[in-house]
Amino acid sequence: MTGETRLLRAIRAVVAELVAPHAFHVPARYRVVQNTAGRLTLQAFKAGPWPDTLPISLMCGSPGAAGEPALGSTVLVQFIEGDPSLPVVTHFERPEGAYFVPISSKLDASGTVKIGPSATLVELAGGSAKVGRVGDTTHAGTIVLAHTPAGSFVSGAYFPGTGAGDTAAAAAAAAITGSGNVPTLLAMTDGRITSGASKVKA
Amino acid sequence: MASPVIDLEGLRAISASLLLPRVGVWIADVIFDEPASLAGFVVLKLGGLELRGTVDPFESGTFQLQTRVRLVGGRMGWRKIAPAKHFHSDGGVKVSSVLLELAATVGETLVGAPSGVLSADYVRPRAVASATIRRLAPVWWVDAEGVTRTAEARASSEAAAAWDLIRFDPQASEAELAFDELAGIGVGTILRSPRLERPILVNSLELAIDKSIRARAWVEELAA
Repeated sequence: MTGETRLLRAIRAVVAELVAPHAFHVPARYRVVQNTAGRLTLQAFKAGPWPDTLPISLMCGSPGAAGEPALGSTVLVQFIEGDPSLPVVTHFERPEGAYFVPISSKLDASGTVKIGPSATLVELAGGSAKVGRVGDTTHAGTIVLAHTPAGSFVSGAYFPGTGAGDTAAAAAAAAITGSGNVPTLLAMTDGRITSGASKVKA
Repeated sequence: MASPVIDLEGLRAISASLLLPRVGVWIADVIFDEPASLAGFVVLKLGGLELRGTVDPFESGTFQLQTRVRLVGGRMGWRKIAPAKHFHSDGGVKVSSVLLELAATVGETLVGAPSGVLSADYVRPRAVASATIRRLAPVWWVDAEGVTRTAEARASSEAAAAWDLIRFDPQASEAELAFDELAGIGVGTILRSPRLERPILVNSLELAIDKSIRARAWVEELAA
């Protein structure tokens, strides 16, 4: 630089060389440009200090966690042990960021994946209906039987449980009564779920 | 004994100093007793030694009849700020690839780059070029031809010219020397003398050349 004293120039040069390695000890901000087979191509947030990168690996914070961050999302790149040959993506967009929701997300384990063991409620896919489990009771429908006033069997029909099925069963019973016969409704509400997927438990 | 010749691009100078470090770039300061205008890549002749370097315009100048010129070995590239760059190779990034690209970027010539292989990635931030070569090749230097070289260690050899030991400070590991020929003593020279308990290896050398040649050497004592 012109205008500097010789001493200041020399000190500046020495300091620049001494602090240069410490550049690798702070996380650097990047934007996601492309996802390629689990590696990210990134664009430096600020042109100059850091290069746009070729695909580099992710090192997510939880074991078994992986995913594809949204294109345009902000990530942090860190260098393991301050080594410029070991760059990894370690952090992703903040929850309030526009690109927080990733393209895909995976959580895996060779043993058990536990979600919300202490939670009072676990919501999946934004749903609000309860999930059926082995042992839960089921409404398996209604059998409507028609017999004569003397007790002789005339006919029978099955209607699936709840909703339209219950309405149809009630209408069938009314029709039997209207014909002079006697309806009997057998509601099969004592069913139980007896099997389910071996890999998912709730 | 005639005064050693100090010639810079055909101009005769009255004195010069030369710093030859074990690692890094040599630096020469040349003083003329008349105005001299020099710039760019030049050849400095000091006695039998020829050095090729670049005039540092910020450390050179003229006052009345005296001109002082500073030369930096090579093309003065290692002090430049190299732009950020990411290297990638699934088989591992070669150290030589990173350093050869860096040397070309800053205008230097590199010969004998290390043969190692890094991991699949190497990220070079925007920083002074010498920081990167120092990280990947801790022993690097610019030779008299202005070419940058690297090695596991600097080669050593016995002194190839006559020399006198003025004094030796074993505590500071410094020796003061006098000699007539510049070409036979430098970094890596092993000096033996009846006045020394053990031979000494020259690690760095600072020469003062006017009517004679005197040198201050930073040394390490070798096994007897």
